[in-house]
Amino acid sequence: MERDELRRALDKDELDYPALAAEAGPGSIADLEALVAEDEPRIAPKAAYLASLIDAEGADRVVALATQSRHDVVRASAAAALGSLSPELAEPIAQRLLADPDVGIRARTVKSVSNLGGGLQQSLRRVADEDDDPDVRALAQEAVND
Amino acid sequence: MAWAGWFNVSGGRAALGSPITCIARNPDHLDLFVTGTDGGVYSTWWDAASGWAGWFQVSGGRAALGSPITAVARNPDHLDLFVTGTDGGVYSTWWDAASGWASWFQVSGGRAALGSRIEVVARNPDHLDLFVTGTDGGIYSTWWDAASGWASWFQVSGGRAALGSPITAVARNPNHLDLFVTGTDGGIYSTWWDAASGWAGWFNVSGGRAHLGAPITAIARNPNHLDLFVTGTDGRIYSTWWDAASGWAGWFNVSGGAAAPRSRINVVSRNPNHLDLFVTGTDGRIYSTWWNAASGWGGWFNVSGGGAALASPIDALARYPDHLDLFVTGTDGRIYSTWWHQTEQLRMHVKILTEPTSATRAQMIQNMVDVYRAAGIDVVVASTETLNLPLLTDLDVGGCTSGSTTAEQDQLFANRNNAGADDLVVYFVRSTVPPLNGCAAHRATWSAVVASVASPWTLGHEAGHVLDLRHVTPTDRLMMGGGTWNITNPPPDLAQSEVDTMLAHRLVR
Repeated sequence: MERDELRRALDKDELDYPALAAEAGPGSIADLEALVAEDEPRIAPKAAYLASLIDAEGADRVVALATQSRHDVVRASAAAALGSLSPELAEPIAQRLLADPDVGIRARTVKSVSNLGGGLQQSLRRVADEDDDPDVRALAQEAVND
Repeated sequence: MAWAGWFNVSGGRAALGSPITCIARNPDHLDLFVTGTDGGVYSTWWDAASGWAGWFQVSGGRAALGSPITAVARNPDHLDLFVTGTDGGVYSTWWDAASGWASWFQVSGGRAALGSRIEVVARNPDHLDLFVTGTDGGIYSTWWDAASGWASWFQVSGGRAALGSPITAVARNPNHLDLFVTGTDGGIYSTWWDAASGWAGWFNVSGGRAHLGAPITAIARNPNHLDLFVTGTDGRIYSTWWDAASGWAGWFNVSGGAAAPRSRINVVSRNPNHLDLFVTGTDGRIYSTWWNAASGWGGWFNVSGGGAALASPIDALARYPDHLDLFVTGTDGRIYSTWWHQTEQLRMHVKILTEPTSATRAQMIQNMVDVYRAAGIDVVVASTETLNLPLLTDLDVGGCTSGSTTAEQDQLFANRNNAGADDLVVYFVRSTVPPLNGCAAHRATWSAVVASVASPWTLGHEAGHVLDLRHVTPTDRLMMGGGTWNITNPPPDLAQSEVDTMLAHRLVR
């Protein structure tokens, strides 16, 4: 898919992400990274999430780029995308998002990584003990207990 | 049900209290007639395709200020006009689609007091019957027939009325006429003509009385029924009826209504089981009430804040059973109109977790209101509530599959304060997981979510999904699947089949 095709596909109100990921394929990672870099809140969140569903080198880089956005919707999408990455790739990205000032983004990060295991369990324990928000602490505690 | 606001018709003006005559030659066309402030007989028209035209003087015609113009369309391509001219002569002209406006001519030498209303009925497309109170107080009639032309005037069964008294005529069927008038003694009188038996004698209708010259309004909802309306001598609005099976009923006050003496009550029957009444009340406000066979009489209500000089007639017309057009000369002498269109209602409750950032919530709602109104659906925002649920504002919607919801959706959709079982609740969230502009997947409750980066049309689009609409390909439609940010030629359209689907949904009622 050309980048403009990709942009048009992402600009729909409702998307079938698995189908679009299959259609876009590994060759679209660079374009998705460019779309996230544009940091346009209408497209960037969808581009970051789509990248996480494509099994290709650089997918984690696209998600990581989204964590640096000034738009909370883009960072929230990175938090949602974590659940599709491997624990190793997700961990460094999750560390940053678990420190995000936005409570919703921290909560979504906890939900996304709760089943990934690995070193993330230690991060979740820290959130369960130290997060400013009681709901996020409770979510993390629940994830650790599971 | 929705009344529009009053608007001035093409800058038109007339003397206070002037009657506006409106006629629909076909359901998508209106012709208006009025005596203007300079005594000229003026007309304008509205066409569904082109809107309102400018006013023009009809063939140089003139009449006393406030004179009523009577218009009849014997067929969709022909109009006949009647007026009492400035010299007291009864004049007529006609318009034909093929030849345009003809010159005015005096009808068989007829005369009446200045400002007298000429009553005209077309019992069939090739026949006209005229009625007027003559200059001697006699009630006169003449007729025109395509085969024989104009006949001479004759006095109807010796009937008399005060000078200028309007005669009301109704043809319940092509071979029958019923006439009504306030007589010289203030009694309300009627007579009839039947093709088989000719003219009957005058009789007082159920003891009814009114001020001299008071107009009697009569309407036949069906061929065997008449409803009469009048402002009585005590200023109260009265009605009676005649039914072929039971004869004349007694007079009764309509829902406590009152008006200035001699006020004309205008009535429209949009269907045989419904009447809409219009009148200027004693406070100069324009009032309406209705009668329905199932529910009886409703209460009077002011129409869109409208007002007029006391006793101003409100001309009303139903081009369709679900549409009314009203015309009146307002208190500033300008000619005003409003309309009513029957609509269905969609009650929507708004829950805000995060305000939209790409367009304002108000703009999204207004866009939805506008598109749905064009489909005959009034979107009513029944309540608005802010929800402090930061853990649900990035909402997991799973595959956003119809009939399937996630635990987070179920948790959010349980927040239905103020909403009835058949109300739609829309939740404005920051984002969805996965990122979508909105999602209409719901299960136990009628719900949809709209993300903060949604387009100005996403709200209406998602509500459309709730109402069973599916994605379509054309880019100028609300339900276009290519993303409502990319709608072309806004506002987007709804196809008739989509409108039918929406109207059939239980949420639209």
